[in-house]
Amino acid sequence: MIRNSYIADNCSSRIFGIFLFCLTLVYLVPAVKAADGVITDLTSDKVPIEWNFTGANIFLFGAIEGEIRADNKPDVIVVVRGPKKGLVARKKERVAGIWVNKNPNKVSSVPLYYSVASSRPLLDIAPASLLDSLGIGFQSLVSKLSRNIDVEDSNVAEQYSEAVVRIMEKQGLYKSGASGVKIVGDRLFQVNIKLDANVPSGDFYADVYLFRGGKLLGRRITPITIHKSGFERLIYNFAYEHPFFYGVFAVILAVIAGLTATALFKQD
Amino acid sequence: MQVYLPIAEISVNVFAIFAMGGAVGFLSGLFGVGGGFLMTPLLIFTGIPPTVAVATGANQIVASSISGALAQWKRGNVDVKLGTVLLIGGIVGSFIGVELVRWLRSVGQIDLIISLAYVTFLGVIGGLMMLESLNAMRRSKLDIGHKRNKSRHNWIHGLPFKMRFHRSKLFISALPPLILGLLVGLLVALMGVGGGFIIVPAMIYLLRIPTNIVVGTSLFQIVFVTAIVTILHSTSNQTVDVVLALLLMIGGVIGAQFGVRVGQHLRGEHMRALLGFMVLAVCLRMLVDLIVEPDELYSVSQMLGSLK
Repeated sequence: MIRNSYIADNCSSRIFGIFLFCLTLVYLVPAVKAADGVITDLTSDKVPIEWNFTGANIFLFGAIEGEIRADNKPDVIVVVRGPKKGLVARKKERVAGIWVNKNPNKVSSVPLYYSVASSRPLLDIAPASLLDSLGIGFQSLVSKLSRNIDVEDSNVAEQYSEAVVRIMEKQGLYKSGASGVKIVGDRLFQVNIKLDANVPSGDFYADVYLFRGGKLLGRRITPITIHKSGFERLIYNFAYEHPFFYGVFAVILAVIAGLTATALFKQD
Repeated sequence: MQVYLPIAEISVNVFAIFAMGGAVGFLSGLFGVGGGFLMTPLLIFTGIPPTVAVATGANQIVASSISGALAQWKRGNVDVKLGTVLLIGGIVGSFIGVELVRWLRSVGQIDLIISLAYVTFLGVIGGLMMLESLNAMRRSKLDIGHKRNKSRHNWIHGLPFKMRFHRSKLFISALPPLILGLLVGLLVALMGVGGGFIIVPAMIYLLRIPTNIVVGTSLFQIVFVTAIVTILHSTSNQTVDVVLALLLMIGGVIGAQFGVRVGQHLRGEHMRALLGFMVLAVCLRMLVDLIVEPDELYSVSQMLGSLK
């Protein structure tokens, strides 16, 4: 199946173009009588984070292939997963009147971004056990992270993994929306993937699941690259790859700024 | 206008940061203080990670003190020998401080320690300022002259390793300036302050160095120690954000110019009381954050070593 990939560009004419592209597919596909499945395209599969980055929206468009019956319409769930990293979670306790971080626990391979959008509430689409095995939804994420924490007590592990999910959600790194996927007509769907300014860079994957009658019919994975670019990337790389020279650079910058300011204000 | 800070990894409003740099610069020009002890807490309140606030604060102080240091140097107010002794202590203190930050970060206690250090220092300094200015106001009303104990000798003169500091007209042990320098190095690394509020009174009252030499020599030491801390934090912790520092510098130097002009028309005691009040307010806010039960008891941080 064709999957066009374009360079990052969020203009509306582009979105319209993709829409037309999908529309064409929809009218071509039933004629060939393809098996059940989905085809997708993105407005941008590379998102650069530059000095003025305040977040981004990526529109994912798709079309449902195969037979569609009016009495049993298909559902779509889109999960976007970011790069994974080991984190340390701590719980605060009151020590001498002050709240102190205590009880550290390592949580391995935590996705630094996770968003789930669906055409209907998740549990209306598929049973919890199926969603769990596919890693769809915050509940499945909690149980998965619980297994990544090395503690005896499973209740404690669950409290920690719930906390991780809650904190990541508060930071806008985990998102969920029961009506995030809009199905247009019978076959077309679109979802808006929101990325906040604090989104980590790395390889992301948009996973599109097609369900009907509580069963998984098809699945398609689309990679998205979030990379820091431009001036912002330059500074970041400099700081992490040549930390000593970065420090020297910061000092020189401060000296120049201080002297320039004095020189400027002396004149008046 | 939003700008994404590459090291703090958050998006901030440029004008808010400018205004903050400007306000702190204004106050430092007005009161003749460094202002680092207000800048770092303000950055933390805005959501900048405390470690980034501290390291970037140190970087910003290089810019705000370099001109003063140069001017003092030209006027011959720097005791280079004393400054070098202070600086040696400062370098050792910086190393210890930066490594301490690195270790506290890995055990997840750095934010707490920075807050505790601020609450303690701001509480003491703000309290002293308020007391002194209130006393000064009362004295000026009663018109009673202030007499200081002028004894030339104290316990300092009993210490070994005596050195002669010609410029300061002193013959004292090298230990007190060495330890003083070390303490300042620690404070710069841990709190992102210049340390002027410690070093200046200590040099005047403890070491009995002439005031003009104190100002020049402490600025000399502060420029070098903040520069070294900037480099060390960059190397060990990667917490210096040059974009944030630059915004603060621009706001700071402009604010300071206005502060100096306004300060010339105001009375000393009232201003010191005002500054003391502000310092106590910031202290209180930090204390409340430590004491009140947080909404979220859990916290998440990246594992050190795998820090991106």
